[in-house]
Amino acid sequence: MNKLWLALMKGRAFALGVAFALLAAFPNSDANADDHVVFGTVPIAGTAAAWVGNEAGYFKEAGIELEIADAVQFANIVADVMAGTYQFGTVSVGTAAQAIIEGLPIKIVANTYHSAGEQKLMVLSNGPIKTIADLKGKHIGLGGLNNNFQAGIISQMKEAGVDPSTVTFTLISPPDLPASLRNGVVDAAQVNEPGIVGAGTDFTPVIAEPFKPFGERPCNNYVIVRADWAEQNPEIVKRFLTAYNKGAELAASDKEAVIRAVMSFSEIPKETLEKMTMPGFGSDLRQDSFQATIQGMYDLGFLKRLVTVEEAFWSP
Amino acid sequence: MGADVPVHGSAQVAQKPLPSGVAPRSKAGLTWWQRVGEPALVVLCVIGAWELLTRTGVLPAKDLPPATVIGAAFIGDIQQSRVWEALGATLTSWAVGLAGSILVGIPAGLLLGSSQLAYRLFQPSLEFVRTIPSIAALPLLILLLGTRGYQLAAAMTFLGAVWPIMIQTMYGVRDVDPTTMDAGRAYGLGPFQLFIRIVLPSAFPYIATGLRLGAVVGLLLSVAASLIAGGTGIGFLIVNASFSGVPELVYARIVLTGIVGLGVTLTLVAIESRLLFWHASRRRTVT
Repeated sequence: MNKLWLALMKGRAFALGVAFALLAAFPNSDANADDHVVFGTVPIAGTAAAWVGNEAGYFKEAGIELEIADAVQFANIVADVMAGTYQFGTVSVGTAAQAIIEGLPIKIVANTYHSAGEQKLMVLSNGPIKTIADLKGKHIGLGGLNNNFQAGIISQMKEAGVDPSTVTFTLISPPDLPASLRNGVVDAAQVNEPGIVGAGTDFTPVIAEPFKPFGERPCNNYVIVRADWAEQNPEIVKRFLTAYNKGAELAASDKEAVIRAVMSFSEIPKETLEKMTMPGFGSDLRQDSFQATIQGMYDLGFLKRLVTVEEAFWSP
Repeated sequence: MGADVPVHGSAQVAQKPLPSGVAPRSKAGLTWWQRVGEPALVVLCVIGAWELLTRTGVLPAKDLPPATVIGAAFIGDIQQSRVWEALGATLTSWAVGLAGSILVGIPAGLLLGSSQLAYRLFQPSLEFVRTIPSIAALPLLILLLGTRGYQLAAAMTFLGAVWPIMIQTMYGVRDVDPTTMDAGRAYGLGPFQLFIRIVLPSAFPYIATGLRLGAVVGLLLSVAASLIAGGTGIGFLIVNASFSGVPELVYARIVLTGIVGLGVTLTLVAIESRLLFWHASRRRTVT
């Protein structure tokens, strides 16, 4: 019996020794695990920076396990960020400002993309509208109302002597805008890439730079975070931004990387992507353009009040 | 059980040999050509008309691609794993939501149908609530559940399916033939026996109809959830193709969704037919 007991004890001691050795050789994997972060985007080329950075391994380097989640509307992304299902999300300037005005505790942390000619107000090439002045009394289709695009074209119409109250603006789903223009539903329409390439010579721009009143290549979309989450996790936010901004800089300098990224999350054919005007990428927050855009939207009554840079942007 | 007699009787009628030269007929008295051939011919005519109208420029081919272009996109698309993953996500959400609506809808319907008090108290509210489109709940559900994962689509499925299941069950219980109930009582059946032997079988055709309606509405809402809010379902892939400016892929995915919906409906009809083999509406008749 004693021999049996001794044998068992020896066995246990051996098992314990093996266990300790294994623990020493393979420390707890959770201790070194990357922080899992969900980033909400919509499937447009402008959101490519995160994909480019992820493919380049920048997030992994920063200890971030990035999950990119698909949404359809920017407003839903705000809801998801507030609900905590996304830690970061990309939204338009107007959506971010509206959310802040409504008292939602969100902060802007990065530039998603800035304007580089990928959105235009277009008309039929063989139609009667040739200049901005011809837009008087016409019907314009837009992908969003009371936003920076509408503010930008109204500003340019006023400069050209067109009374915007004579113009009818209609909300149409962005992918359906080219068809609406082609089939005469509207006289002019906001057309975004890849719709500009897809239209070929059917359309011509009547306002080629809709965001021009807000500065040189103003920022259209920003990355947001919930303020209290950022306060509790400043290190994760910093590491995320390091990786994200490296991705944005790479996207700015390497169109092929952007094309590869866009092909991974959208159905745009490669030959279309090669012809497309890509949005601008970079780590510059372009706060001047933010202020100019907010002022332009406020002047037209699209925003209830102005939003300052201090209240909109995150500072650790 | 009384219901056994006519079922056996009808089975004997069905086994009578057909006279020579007579084409086999379905339970509804239709030939194979009438059941399958003629509807397929209608579909082919619609496809042919679509092709003709787009090729001749009557419909704008750039926005409404010809049927053959959509067909080619469909063939290419179903070879991609992402379509099946998205379809799997949609069907998983649908199955979870439908299971929840069955677990809630049938017991609630049985209670509302069995209790005069419960029926009196809740029937007006139920009739009101069921007329509200379930899609109206989407913004609130996005705030509560977010758009990530299957929860949103499952919740939408639940909201779409639970009302038809509950209300059909309720009416099924209330429409039990009082004479049959009296006969049951006369044979000494207690409340539990009456419920199991008379109420439940009588209500079953209604419940089956509720399930079929609920399943289809639930599938529509499961697709709509990812179509409007994003996520991982087939609805999002339709939107993605639309954002990408590839209309043939948009229509190919809509067709795929339609085929899945048709498959779900036919499967449920087949299951309903088998489970209700004893019911008067399923018996063969000899004319």
